Amino acid sequence: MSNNSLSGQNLLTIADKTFRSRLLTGTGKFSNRDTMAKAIQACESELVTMALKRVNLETRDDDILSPLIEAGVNLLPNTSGAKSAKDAIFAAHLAREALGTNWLKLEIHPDPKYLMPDPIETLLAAEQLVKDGFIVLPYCHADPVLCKRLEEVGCAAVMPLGAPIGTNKGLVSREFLEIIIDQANVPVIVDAGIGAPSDAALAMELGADAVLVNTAIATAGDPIAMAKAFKLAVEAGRIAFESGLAGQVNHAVASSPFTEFLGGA
Amino acid sequence: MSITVTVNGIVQQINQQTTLTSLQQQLDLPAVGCVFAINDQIIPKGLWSSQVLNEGDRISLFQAIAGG
Amino acid sequence: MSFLERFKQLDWDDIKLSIYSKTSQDVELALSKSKRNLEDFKALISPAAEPYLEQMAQQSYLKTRQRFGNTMSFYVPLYLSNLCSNDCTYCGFSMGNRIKRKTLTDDEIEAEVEAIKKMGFDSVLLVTGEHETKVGMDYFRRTVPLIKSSFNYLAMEVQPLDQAEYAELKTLGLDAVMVYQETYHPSTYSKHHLRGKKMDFLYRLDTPERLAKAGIDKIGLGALIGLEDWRTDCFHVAAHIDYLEKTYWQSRYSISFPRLRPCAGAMQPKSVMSDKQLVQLICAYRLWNGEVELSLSTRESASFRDNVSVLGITSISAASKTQPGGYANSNVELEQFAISDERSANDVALAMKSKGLEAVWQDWHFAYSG
Repeated sequence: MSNNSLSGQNLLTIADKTFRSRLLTGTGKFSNRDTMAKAIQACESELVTMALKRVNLETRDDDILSPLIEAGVNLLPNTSGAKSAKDAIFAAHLAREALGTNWLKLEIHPDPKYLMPDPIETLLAAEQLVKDGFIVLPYCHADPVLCKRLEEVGCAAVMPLGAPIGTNKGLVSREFLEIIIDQANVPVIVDAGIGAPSDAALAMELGADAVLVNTAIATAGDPIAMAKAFKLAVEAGRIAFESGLAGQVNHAVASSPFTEFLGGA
Repeated sequence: MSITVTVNGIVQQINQQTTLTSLQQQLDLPAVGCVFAINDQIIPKGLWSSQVLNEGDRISLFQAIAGG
Repeated sequence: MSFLERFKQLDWDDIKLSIYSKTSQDVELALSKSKRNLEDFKALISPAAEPYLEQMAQQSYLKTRQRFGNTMSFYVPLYLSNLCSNDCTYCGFSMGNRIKRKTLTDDEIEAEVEAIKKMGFDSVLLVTGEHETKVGMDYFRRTVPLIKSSFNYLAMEVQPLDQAEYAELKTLGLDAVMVYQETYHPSTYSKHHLRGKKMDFLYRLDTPERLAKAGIDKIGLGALIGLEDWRTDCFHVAAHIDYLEKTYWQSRYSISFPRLRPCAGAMQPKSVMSDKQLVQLICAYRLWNGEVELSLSTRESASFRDNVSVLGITSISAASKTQPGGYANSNVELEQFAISDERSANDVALAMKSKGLEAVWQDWHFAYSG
């Protein structure tokens, strides 16, 4: 439905794959599987996250995979639940075996209250998982140095947070995201905290390569409509970024002219 | 002849010579999105039909679920 | 991707055309942004930006004060040797030039060091010609620690070395290295470098990357303005730094802008850069990059340096002597290039003060490392 000129000129490239959509989505917190599938379809997201957990033999979870596989989206399993690098590495291998993909969203939060990512365990796990042949997309705090370190150990992208998971607070980490975007040699995907389409558009205007949105879509009044709104916001933000945003006019304080000494030169 | 194993911590009695493939069928698990580990060793899908379970095996079974 | 690979993607003619095609709209857009990229830099160095010079200067002034405060770093060049095994059309030290050649002995170095310390300097730039065998690693191994023991910060501008050699010199006290590509245009480069190892364009081009890999703190780049179209050459300097900053994000960078000046064996510059254009270039660099050090030598006149000091420059030399032994013994033998600003270090510091800038003799960056 969306042609090239509407989506922006450049496709998103992560590792060896290209994507038309710069909106990644999560599958959590939806009221039911059907809504989840329709929302993802409505926003045309091409890279979708899911978690892994031990099967509860008594009460089974919904099979969320069939609709996703049918829709042809790329699966991005995460390691949520891992509290250490060791856990995450095990979870990664499980996910690779379960889903047949070596793509991985690495997330390690030992803190169950705020779900803040552990930088040290994440860096350790990332380094090992890259060696094990995974395409690692690490979720981390918006720490510019950490993002460079993750890039250096071979991560295919970095996923700094906008705000703590589930808070919908927007780009609280804006200043740091800008530094990360300025310094990055890999795609920057802003993940967590994006609460409204305007937040997503802002992230794209700042130069982020993509965003990941889960809670704001899943818990909206009308998730399917909200998904569509996010799609449009991400496209608008990206086109704005590529078209060269006009900045604010800075009025410099002119005391005496600096270049008068040049005369007519 | 039956043997005792645990599946995700729950004790189960299963037939001797049960393979992971038959366990998958018995538990009515979907074809895609599951993975078994036996005593913390992940078992590749290709080996499920040949992997026979032994007495005392701790089987962990994971499945893809909704998450962000 | 290494810089050599990135360099292959840079097409000189396309870039030149792109710069000269920039419009006043492009310039206004660049000026209105707070974060500028290389396309904005092109606009700012293009002819279309000339009418906006005062505005550029105002913004460059503010941006520099915000990041660097009201300070100016002082350094002094210490010429150790004018021996050279290269033949470069523009340089007084060319091996073909019949000048008195000198390489300082340890005693002579000590005399220079003493004279320099009396002037108040604590940051030194060691300069030699490029003579691998007679003034090579053995000489540097001995002289670097000898000189570093008297100064807080030590930089070098000598022949390009291997990564392992830089790493070794770092352990002996080397803090920074300046290596100017002269021109990023390979065939023009070969017209000016006629004999010696300097003929190897790619080895020289790769040097900043070897420096970064060796962990050298500060890496200085630059083009010799006048060898080629200066705008295109200076764009390449910016592109080079852009690449280095993203990959070797723990190093600091410095840009110099030597303009071709008269020397023995004189030649005509291909493009002549006016004072106005040099101001434009300095402001463009600063507007594009808030952190890079911009360094101005005594090649430029006193009044020019004083006026330009507040506009974006963060490092200057003073009272420079460009012949070996020139501080202890002020007889002019043969300088590498003619000095325009001959004021003493003190006088220059006072001039900076009158501009509202405090002279800084010591770089406090290294409080804790090595």
